[in-house]
Amino acid sequence: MADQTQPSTGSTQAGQPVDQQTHFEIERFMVREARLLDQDRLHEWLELLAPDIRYQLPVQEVRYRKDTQPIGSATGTYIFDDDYKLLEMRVNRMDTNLVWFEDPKTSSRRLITNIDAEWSEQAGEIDAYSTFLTYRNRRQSDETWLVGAREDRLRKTDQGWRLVNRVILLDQRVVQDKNLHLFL
Amino acid sequence: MGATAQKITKKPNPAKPSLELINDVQQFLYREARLQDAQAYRDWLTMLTDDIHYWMPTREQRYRSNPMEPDITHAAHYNDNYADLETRIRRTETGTCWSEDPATRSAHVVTNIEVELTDSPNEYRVYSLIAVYRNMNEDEEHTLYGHREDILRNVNGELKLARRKIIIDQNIFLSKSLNVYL
Amino acid sequence: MKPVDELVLEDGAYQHRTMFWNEDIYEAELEHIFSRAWLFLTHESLIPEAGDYNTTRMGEDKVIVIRQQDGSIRAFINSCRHRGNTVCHADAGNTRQFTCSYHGWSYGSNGELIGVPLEQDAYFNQIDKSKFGLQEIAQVASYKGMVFGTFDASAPDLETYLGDMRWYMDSFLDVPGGIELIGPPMKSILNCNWKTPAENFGGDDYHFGWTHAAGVAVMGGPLEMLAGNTGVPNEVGFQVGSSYGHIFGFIEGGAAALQPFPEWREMYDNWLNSRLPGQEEKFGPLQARFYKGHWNANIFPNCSFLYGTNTFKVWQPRGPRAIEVYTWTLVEKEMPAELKQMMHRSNAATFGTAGMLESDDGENFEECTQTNRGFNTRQGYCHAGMGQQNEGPHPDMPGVISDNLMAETGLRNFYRTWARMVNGDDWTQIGAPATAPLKKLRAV
Repeated sequence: MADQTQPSTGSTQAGQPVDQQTHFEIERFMVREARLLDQDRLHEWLELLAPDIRYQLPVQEVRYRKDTQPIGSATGTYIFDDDYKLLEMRVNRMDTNLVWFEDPKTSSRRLITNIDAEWSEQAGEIDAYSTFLTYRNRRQSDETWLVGAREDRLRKTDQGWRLVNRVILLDQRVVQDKNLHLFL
Repeated sequence: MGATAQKITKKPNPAKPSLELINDVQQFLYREARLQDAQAYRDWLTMLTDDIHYWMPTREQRYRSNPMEPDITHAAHYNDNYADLETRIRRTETGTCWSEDPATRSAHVVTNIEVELTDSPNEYRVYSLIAVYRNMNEDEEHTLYGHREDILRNVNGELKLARRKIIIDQNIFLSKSLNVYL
Repeated sequence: MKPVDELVLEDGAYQHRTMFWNEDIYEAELEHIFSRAWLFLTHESLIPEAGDYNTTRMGEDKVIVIRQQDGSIRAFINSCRHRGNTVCHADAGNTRQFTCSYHGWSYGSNGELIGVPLEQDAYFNQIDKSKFGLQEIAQVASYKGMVFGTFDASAPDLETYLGDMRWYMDSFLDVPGGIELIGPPMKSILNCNWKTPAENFGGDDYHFGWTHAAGVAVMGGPLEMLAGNTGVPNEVGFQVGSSYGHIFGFIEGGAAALQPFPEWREMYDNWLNSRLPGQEEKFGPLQARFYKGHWNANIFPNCSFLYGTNTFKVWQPRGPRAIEVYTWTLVEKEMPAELKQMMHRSNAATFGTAGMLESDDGENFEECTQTNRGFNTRQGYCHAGMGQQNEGPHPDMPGVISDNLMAETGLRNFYRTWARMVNGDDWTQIGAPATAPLKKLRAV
């Protein structure tokens, strides 16, 4: 098999935009991932994750600019801070058919856009940036839009791209819903 | 803010843009959106041409029989040249911009991107749809949708934004402020 | 508004459903409960240095809690005395003064008005700045690091207010090095009345096996037997109702039971076992047993926690039909960093905004409130009579205690206190022994 970690043209220097073929693959990966999640195909989604995944959604405290702390700093807190085992546990929990509030099920639509990808300092891994608009509708008239950005690290493997790291930046200080019982 | 805009020529060039160009344009718009979300406004300025015209006209509710195209002599939310935009950005850097401290959280979502060639070999007309979600103070939410019509120019091999017209789908502006660029 | 003795009946066992919907009752709660009770503000570990502050709410009042130069903590209403604008817009930070963004009035960290722009040119020096300091919260006090405040200058001191609950809480608050909260808090919105999560956390052990069946099934561990309500051994635990309305359900030896993985349970258990002898030496075995058990608790009115799972919450009321949920993680200060991080991750995975157990509760809480939109629906009473004949005083432990974990002893105690406070009773009646019935009331 040819070395697919190398692009056909252009620079692979960290911070440089990826080539067109790679960009296309990343875009397909994200669109497919969104569809699997929308369709509740959670076990297939787990297959898109690297075994060493870290999946995080940091709490962003409202502070004056002079007091601002970097997102994900050591003192920070997280709404999601999952490794593969925890993500798998969340998925397995849904399989029990005992999650009453998800039956009837919530429907969700993930619109993923603004996909921008750069080579990382690690060979065969890229940093991908994207923005999401996710719509949720539950029961009779429970409606929510969740909007934010994602900073991902993706790794090329023989089976295709795998998600290694995801940091979700949700643009709400107070989550405007009763839970975040979904993957973003 | 009296920028003079060149009329954007409407005649489409029948030749099709290359996939590579479409890709470059798309990346340009996404990067621009990401810099806006990060409030990296100085970096955003480097993506503009010196003769940028950045324009967001106000809307007016009119009967179909009595239409009026937006015109740069009419009122506008934005009608800015490079110096105007730079002044706005300088204001947010003064440290006395109380309404922006703590910072607004925003997500610029860009989609429906279309690229057309123009009569000028170095300029491309780009249409896109933008949704800007803003979350302010404790739990205030505002969402703006805009139809954009841009001219991107190839300046020494680098794409830059030369013209932008933003048409928003609101007659009365429904938020208490407009502190973002669309 | 109905008279209070028609709202809460039979020693707290029935609650009229308008209590979860009606605007007038809610106003009465703001006036008689949230303006009198001690309310949780922050933990000292979150504002360690002079000038460190948090903003929060007491009822619907916005407040600033700030560490003074002398190390003490004071709290002020977060609203400018000139035209009423919010003075501080941040959740947290460090400052020497707060400057209003409207006209620039500035206040020192002690609340005094220290700067008025154009004081000479516009006010002709005729403004008496000493009269316009930020309105101060009447009493602010810390109990073993937990900072509370009350608007009522005549309220009993914090130690008295914590009542019987203090004897129990000392077992885990009073550890070497003390405890701390990991922040910033997660925040989310629930469209429910504030009393529903408070009674649930403090006194509803009955829902656990059913509501959370799925989560408990995949996490396994010693509480797995409760999943699906297949039976409850009597010795599993009991409920406690304290004076001043505080309540908790206790699972014997179960502190680590709700950690999601066996390795995590083991790591936490090892920690607890290493500290237990010290706690037994300090408190004796009867009191120290509470260090090693799992608690679901509510400090009246709206501060809930799960000791062991270590989630710590405040249910901030926003009208009678919505709340804002604040969630921190409770840890012992001397825990190794690895264990603290594990605690925070397991709290996020269970009772955080995206927690597997939190999401089970939210839907139930909202519906318990929103069904009362129906005029006829809300004419009835809710029932909390479980185990009413099987509770009473204990010879060696304070408060009223149930014979079984599955009981509504906590709920009744909570609503008895609610009725006394909304009724405007004086503090001696509010703090009367938990077992005393409210009044002789008509039967339903």
